[in-house]
Amino acid sequence: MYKKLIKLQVNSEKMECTVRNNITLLDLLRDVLDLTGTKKGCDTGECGACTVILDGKAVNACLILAVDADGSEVQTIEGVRKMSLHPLQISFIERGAIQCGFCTPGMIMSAKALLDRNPNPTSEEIKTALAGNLCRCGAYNKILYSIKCLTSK
Amino acid sequence: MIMDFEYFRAKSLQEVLLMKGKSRSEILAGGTDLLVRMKTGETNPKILIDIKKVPDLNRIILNPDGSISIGASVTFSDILESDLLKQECPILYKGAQVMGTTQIRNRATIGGNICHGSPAADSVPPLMCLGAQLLLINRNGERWLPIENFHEGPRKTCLKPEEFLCEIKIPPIQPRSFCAYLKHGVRKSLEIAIVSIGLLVFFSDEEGVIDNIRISLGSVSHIPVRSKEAEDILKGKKITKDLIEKTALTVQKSINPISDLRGSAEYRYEMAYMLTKRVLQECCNHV
Amino acid sequence: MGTDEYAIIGKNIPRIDGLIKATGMAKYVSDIKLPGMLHGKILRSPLAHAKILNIDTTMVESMPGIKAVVTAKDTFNRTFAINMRLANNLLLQNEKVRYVGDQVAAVAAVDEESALEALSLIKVDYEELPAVFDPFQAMEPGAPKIHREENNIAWYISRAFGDIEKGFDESDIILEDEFHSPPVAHCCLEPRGCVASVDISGRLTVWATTQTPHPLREELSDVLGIPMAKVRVIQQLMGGGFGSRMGMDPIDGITCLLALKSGKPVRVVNSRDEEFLSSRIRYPMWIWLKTGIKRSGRLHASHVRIITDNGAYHMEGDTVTGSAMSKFGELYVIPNVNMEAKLVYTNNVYGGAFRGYGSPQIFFAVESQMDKIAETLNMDPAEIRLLNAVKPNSITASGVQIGSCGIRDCIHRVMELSSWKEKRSQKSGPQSSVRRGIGMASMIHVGAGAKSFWGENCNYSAATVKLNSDGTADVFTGSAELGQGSNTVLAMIAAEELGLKIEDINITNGDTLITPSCRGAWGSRQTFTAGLAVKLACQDAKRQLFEVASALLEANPTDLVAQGRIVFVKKNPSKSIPFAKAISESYFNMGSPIIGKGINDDPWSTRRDPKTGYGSYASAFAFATQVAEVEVDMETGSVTVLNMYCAHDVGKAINPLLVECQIEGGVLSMGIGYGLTEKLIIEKGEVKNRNFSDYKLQTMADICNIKTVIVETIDSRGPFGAKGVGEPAMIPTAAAIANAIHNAIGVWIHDLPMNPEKVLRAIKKAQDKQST
Repeated sequence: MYKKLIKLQVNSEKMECTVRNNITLLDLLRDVLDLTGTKKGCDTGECGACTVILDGKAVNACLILAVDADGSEVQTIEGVRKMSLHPLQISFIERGAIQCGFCTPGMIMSAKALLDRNPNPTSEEIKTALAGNLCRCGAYNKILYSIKCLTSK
Repeated sequence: MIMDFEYFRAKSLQEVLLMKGKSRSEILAGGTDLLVRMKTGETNPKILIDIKKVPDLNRIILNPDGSISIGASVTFSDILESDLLKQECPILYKGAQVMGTTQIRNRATIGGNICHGSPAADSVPPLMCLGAQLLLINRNGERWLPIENFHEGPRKTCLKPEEFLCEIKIPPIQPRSFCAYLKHGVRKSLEIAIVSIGLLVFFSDEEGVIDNIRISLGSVSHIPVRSKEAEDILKGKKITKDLIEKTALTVQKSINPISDLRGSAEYRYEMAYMLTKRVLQECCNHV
Repeated sequence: MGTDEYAIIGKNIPRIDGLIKATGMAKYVSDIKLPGMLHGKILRSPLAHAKILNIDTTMVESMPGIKAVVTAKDTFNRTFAINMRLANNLLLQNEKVRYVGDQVAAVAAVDEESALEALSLIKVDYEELPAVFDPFQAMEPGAPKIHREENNIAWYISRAFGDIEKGFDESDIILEDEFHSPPVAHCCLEPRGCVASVDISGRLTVWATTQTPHPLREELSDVLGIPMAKVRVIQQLMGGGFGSRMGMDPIDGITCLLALKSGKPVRVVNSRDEEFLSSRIRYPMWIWLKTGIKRSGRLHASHVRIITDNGAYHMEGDTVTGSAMSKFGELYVIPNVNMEAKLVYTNNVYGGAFRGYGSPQIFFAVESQMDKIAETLNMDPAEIRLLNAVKPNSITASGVQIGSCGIRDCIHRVMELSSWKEKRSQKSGPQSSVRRGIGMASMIHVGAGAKSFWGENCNYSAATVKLNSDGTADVFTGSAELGQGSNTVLAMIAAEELGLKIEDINITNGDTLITPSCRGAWGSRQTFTAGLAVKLACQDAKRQLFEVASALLEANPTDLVAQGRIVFVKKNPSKSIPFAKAISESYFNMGSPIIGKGINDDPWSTRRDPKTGYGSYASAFAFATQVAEVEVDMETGSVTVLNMYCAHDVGKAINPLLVECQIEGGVLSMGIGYGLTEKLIIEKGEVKNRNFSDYKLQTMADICNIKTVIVETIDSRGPFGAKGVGEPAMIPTAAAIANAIHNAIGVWIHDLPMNPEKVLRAIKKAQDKQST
């Protein structure tokens, strides 16, 4: 059983852990670090429920090996709220962007990754950024609206 | 379930080649194809060679002779963020735009996309149109290969076990060109093409006359194809309605699609014809 | 309508579980971790039809890390289903497997990897049997027998109202059309899962992704042979339901078996591949409509015939089919109606409840034909619908009582919203390669559940409320929160009834140990049935409170009002007492807590007569009309939905924002997906497109513009006039798109989904026909 000691930053917290080579970043977050906010919807990088921000970019945690995240910075949904709720979270809650909630963490992470780089995206840019996050409840319109309300375009 | 493996983070090309020589080793670039195959048990490597920290592999360089070198671990997002590529190789930019999803594009690499060998790969028809050359290196040397000679079948390439694709070189782009890339599917994201087509046209000094033209299609055969017979119809000519029709019919004859989950062979024949007409009409309108 | 009539009802209150969901704090089944918890996996049949000769688990039993292995031998072999009369599914098959994905054995191990390895070491000897995958072939003599039924016909029904022969004789025009609806997957973003734990005294606690926690408790108790007092089901927050989690799923019972055998907590979660392979689907249907119409446009006779592919095991095929077949004569006034249906076993994955419960299938057929009728008579599609739609406070030929009915309002308002008349008169040029069209479709569906299951009279919901001495309230409801927002709506109803603020209300739902029974979330019933129960419970608590307060205020209890956290005399508001003070008085000076009880036993509806089918099986019906505007690419067959306009009669929108969310949500994912892109591709019984790349759900990049209007008819029975909206949201969408396509290109497509290849084929067929 191959293992590796990895050092990474998760939600601004520096940490070291020894992980098995054959687990994904998603497994590391959920099963080892107890950060269950990031969800497993398909485990094959198609639904976006496992979206986290890795070194500033939105990625599917299920398609990244934990060992591959050695030396990286990871932001998960648990790290979005600092002293108070992030404007994205407030907007999602108030504007009806949440139904069953399973896609919500992934949606917020994809949206945050976008807004962190581009605070004023167009509707098309928002759709492109979130086109890899499936929502079966169909809350797409309200999600788009919730994000749009935070921009000045 | 992913089976156990050794993980090795290469710091140089020498290290990559050294590890590649070992049996059952595989390259880990973005991992967006590889990890899926490992989870389903389709592949079971003993050693994974992570190339992401190898310098030079993630660079996009404009060479003094006007050619562009793209390192194998350049991601699709890197392509979209490159002003150089947007300006000089817009067809590759267009292909990158419609590939996968944002999350996939942030990880998937151009080298991985080429080596994965899917007939539906979104980078390949654009690269074929651009006349890209692939640099394959091994411990004893290197060879350059035109991309259209690289694929041999679905998920099968001519890359030898000890070889590594490290660079994609795009020859200098002539001025006065037009490009298009159309991907036909059922929805606008997370889509594997039913049929895709890339078109690159270079115009001569004479207005509207085509100097050189490249037509490349994906998902229409066991490998991405370049339709050279169709290209010959328009070389040295101006685009006319009749020539568009003739070219589209010739493209249709040059492909050999299958029926699968995404569409029937019959539909693919029709779409290859239709998309060829559309990109040529777009080119015509551009002139 | 009086927007200030209520303090809270009618307001866009953000959902009360938004905070935990937006911060990653919400716990779903796959997030649950218990000390010593094991991981379970299910062994599924690779064959569509085979005898099980032997299951050898000896290699696995001695593996370190494997703590339990179960097969049918570990069960009582009791069948289960919502409708027990036809039940034939087992938790683990003992004699035969009947579809690819059928469950045969299960293991619980220290980790998932060990569990999966163990599965590969279980040896099952199968004797493969001939299989049948098409219901028409399954009915033929000599077809492989899947259960005991002759010709694999699970159920047959025939109903007649009026005089159908005479009806057709008297009709001026008769149209006959055939429609087909494919197998479709729920694709809840959260795969099915269950956690079960048994304590030292044998008490079982089950955390389930279930829409029906109380019925699940009954089913588990029955199938496991454990008294109900020792079974606790907790409805965990769910990542989607849409009908897929109505009633017990084998995964629930199997998880319990593993927990019981190992003595440890066990968690079993399906992979996405398993979800596609083996989960219940929308029942595929073949529908024939023969309809007689008078020249005036009045519908006069209808013969509806349905063949439903049940799949391998019984779940709800009879009720879904029965519900579908009666809808034509429930939305429109038709004096002579015949209906007949057959439910047929095949070796395909079996069906179950799926948002709309047969209505999406039947309204695709009905509403497509209504447009055909309109075209035949040169009438506007809106006109034909307005002419024939049922009226409020009327009874249909089959005895269904229509109470509140806003269908005409829906049609008028959606026409206005969509600029219907103007757009309908526009025509794309005949040579244009991209053509636009606009089409509409209406629907009726239950808005309050129905008396269709479990017994003669069973559509209740119960609730209790405790008033706390500080003026807050704890409400207990047996209902299920699937993400539709029912907990928020119930909290609003409680707050309004008690005169409190929403933050004063604490809602606990779906835990069978501490909540009173409710039949669960299906039939768009939670707002209506659970809402009424909560309202009744609060009224009961209020009555007790007013007894106490009347003494303090020296007033008659009937003269008191509770509002804004105060109890006061209606005619003399200065005579008042804070809500909290009145309760404290009861608790501390009168020595009595205040506990309210509410049972809504649905006194209005009845089961349909078993012989004639006559009867009003639901106490309220929802209506809607949607309009789709599309663009069709004549050369590729691609259909783009540009705009959707939706008008829904919901009685009273308790929370208009949540209502809008349901409507938009139903349209943008399931409605449009069902119409244009979704289909399970099943070959020789095996689902082939088992991932999200090949099963085409709508993405954010595909969405159209959508506008909704809420029509309020203030139902006389519903809580504050409310009816359901969850299912209606997606019922008419596919038909509206089909009608818009016809308007654009003059082609009828009667087979879903209307994907580009199919549309192109239909265009070419029509063009060939024209040229010959």
